[in-house]
Amino acid sequence: MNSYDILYGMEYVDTDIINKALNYGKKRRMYGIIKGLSVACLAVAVLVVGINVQNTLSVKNSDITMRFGVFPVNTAIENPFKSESSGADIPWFSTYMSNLINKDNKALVYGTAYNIQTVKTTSDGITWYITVFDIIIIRTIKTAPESGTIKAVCINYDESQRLSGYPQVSMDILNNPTAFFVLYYEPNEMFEAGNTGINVYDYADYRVGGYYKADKNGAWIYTGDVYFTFDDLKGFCNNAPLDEEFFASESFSEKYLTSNTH
Amino acid sequence: MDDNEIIGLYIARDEKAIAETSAKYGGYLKTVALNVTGDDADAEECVNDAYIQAWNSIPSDPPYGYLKIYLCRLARHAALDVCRKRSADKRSAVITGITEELEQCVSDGSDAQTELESRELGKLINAFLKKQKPLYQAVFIRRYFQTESVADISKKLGLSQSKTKSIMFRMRNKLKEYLESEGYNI
Repeated sequence: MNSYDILYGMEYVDTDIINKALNYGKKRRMYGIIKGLSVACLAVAVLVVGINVQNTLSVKNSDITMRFGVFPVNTAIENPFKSESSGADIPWFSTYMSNLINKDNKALVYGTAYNIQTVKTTSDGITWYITVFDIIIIRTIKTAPESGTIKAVCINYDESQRLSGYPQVSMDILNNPTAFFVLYYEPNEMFEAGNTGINVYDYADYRVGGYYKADKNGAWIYTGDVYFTFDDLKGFCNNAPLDEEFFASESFSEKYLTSNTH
Repeated sequence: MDDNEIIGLYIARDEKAIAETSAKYGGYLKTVALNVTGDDADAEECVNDAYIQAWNSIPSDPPYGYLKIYLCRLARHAALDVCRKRSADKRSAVITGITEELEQCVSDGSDAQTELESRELGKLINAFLKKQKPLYQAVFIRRYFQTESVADISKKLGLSQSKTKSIMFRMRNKLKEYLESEGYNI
């Protein structure tokens, strides 16, 4: 074997991994641009307020809708994708997200997660956490049903006492069950959790590829790149010894699982 | 034009498919091929090879959702073939650098493997990559799949060049260990 064999072998890397790798950092760059724009808009807003105050006009706090680094949105069920101030699409939604969901195997769902269940299994010395949950759909774009409930799955793994892998959202879903979920719909594909032999699509049609939660200011924060500490999942799953046989013979939601219902 | 519409043209055997593909991805494919071959004419030929391959294979196996990466694979493969046939002193600086780096992982220099073996090796690389952090995956894919320069990777990911090199070095070491642990004779 020589180095060219590695280069040829790279052709067989999953499209999913290549996509993620090539898109890595774009969101951060976009945040940077948005942040820059926010600063500029804030400066303008401050200037306007200053002029208004100088002109002795009264200005209420509620008149200033732009806040540094955050994008207020209307979280009302009927229209979560629109800005509360202008009624326009959220900046990152109209560009990055619309590109993302334009691909057939992606879906964006605004909904509430419940029946969150996590199990762990070990392979090659790495502990894998597989979390399945239901999402009650509030709004959806493409690929997913317009309403009702769907079942999704996400995976984490433990590397040197840190949870990593992608996506790293299990704990956040517990704390913020109502969120935007970026989902992959590839039910006929194989997505294996490490070398465990477990195809996560055996347990759900949708795999979580990203997650946006609302912060206290009403902004949407992407948490797909967040790394959680090992302690985050302590007590979240039990110590049931899981293997392929277990997955083949038992219903995923029965017997060994720790259930957290919202 | 939307990717799915372009794929539809291929399936319908409409020759506009090539023109649309070229208009949308020609520049990107040329860059990938040029990185590997280092020669403009060769790169152009590789891109044309990719179009022919796409024309022949898309109707039976349409790459819905990943047309860009599919075309990149074809162009890259053609470029690697061109490069491998050349004598070492005629290879591009980028590919020479990349192959030298990868010798850290595989150093026996034996003859090329079969496609089946490449596929098996690819599966192992795939499993290895799944275990890596997203940033490390990004650096590795950009360097060894998309054959980007260290300077470009650093710029795009907001890293210093030394940090990028350090990540690549660690990844190669880990890959070597992983392949050895899987019984690969390296």
